[in-house]
Amino acid sequence: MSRMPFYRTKKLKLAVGAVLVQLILVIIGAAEIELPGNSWLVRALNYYGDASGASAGYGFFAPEVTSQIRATFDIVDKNKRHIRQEWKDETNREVDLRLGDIVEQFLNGDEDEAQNLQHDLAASLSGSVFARHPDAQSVTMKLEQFVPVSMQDFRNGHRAKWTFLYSTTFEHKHIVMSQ
Amino acid sequence: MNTYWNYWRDLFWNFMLEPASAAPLAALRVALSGTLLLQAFLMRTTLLDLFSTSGFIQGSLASKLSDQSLPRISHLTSVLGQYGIDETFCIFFVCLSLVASLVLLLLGWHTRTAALIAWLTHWTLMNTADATTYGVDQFAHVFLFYLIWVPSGSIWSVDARAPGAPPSVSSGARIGLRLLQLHLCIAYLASGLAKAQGIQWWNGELMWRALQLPVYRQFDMNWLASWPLLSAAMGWMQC
Repeated sequence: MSRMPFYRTKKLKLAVGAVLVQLILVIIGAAEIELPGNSWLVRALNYYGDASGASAGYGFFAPEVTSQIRATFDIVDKNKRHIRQEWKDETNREVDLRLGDIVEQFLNGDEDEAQNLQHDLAASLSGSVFARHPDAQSVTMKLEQFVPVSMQDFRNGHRAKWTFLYSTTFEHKHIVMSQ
Repeated sequence: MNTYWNYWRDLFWNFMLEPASAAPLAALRVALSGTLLLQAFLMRTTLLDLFSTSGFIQGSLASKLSDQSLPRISHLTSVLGQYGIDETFCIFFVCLSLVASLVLLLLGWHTRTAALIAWLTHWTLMNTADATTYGVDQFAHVFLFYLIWVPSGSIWSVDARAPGAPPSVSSGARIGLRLLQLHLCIAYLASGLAKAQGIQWWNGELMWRALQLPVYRQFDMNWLASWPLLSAAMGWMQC
């Protein structure tokens, strides 16, 4: 098969150069290498990496599958009725994936900031539950974790189950305006 | 020595510049914009919950969970707020701009400009709701950025019907194709190497455990516990 003719113009060579630079940044991002220092060049490259997606990592499901967490809310209304609501959308898979991502944030952050982050997240999610239930007096958020058992343990009769991780309660405060 | 060098140099330039059809790039453009439009349709009722400061991630928490230097809806709100424009308007403005640019991208009308607006608005929404993004968003962001530069509108598009439109076979299309191919090679290699470092991918535990998680449990796969070699083989193939 004959090759199509082409010219190595300056513009095309520049484009190839830009592609090579981009691919080097993709390799750096994929290898999760942090550029050293905080010079303007490093900051510019980091910003460009975010803008172009070159800094993205690709370790999906790596190195292992650990667990799944879920959040449930116990809502108590003004008539003391309890309503249990899970943090999920069973009718819309796309939204449900994103709700799951928010809950996964509970496992993020280092030890020092994890507690603050967990409290802020719980307050935020409970706040959105209050917004959906205007007559709610209190909202208790419970976080549970599902850790699968190994194949060997499963053959030996063990079964995975949801275990308690974290719980907190928020109450609706009435603000009384003084004369 | 000189001949040897010339051989490899010519091989490299042929690899990068030999004219190619822009059809694969156009296919990416159509598939990506179609997918993102479907995604936008599915998320239409949760826009304020996902992107508003009074939604799922409230107040200053959003700033703790994402990089504040990247474009976000709050930046737009702080600029337009002084003219009486509120956050809700800004969210709908960015979302509608994304949808409009995706429609133009799908049709291939003012393709590169449409890709630029789609990339910027998509990136803004990603940064605003950083805690809710996942792999599809990440790849869409990368591909939208590339669609600004590669000639994806030179075939199967309104632009291609315009007088004086660039040819559908070009060195530019080859460069774009190589960029996408090599980026995906790097992504798959990095993903494979990261997985290969985990023992679960080798001993079959990963597929077993993943299929046990309620989020992925579509069918009863308990029988797999009696077939560890099959589970391991599934892991090796993925890795």
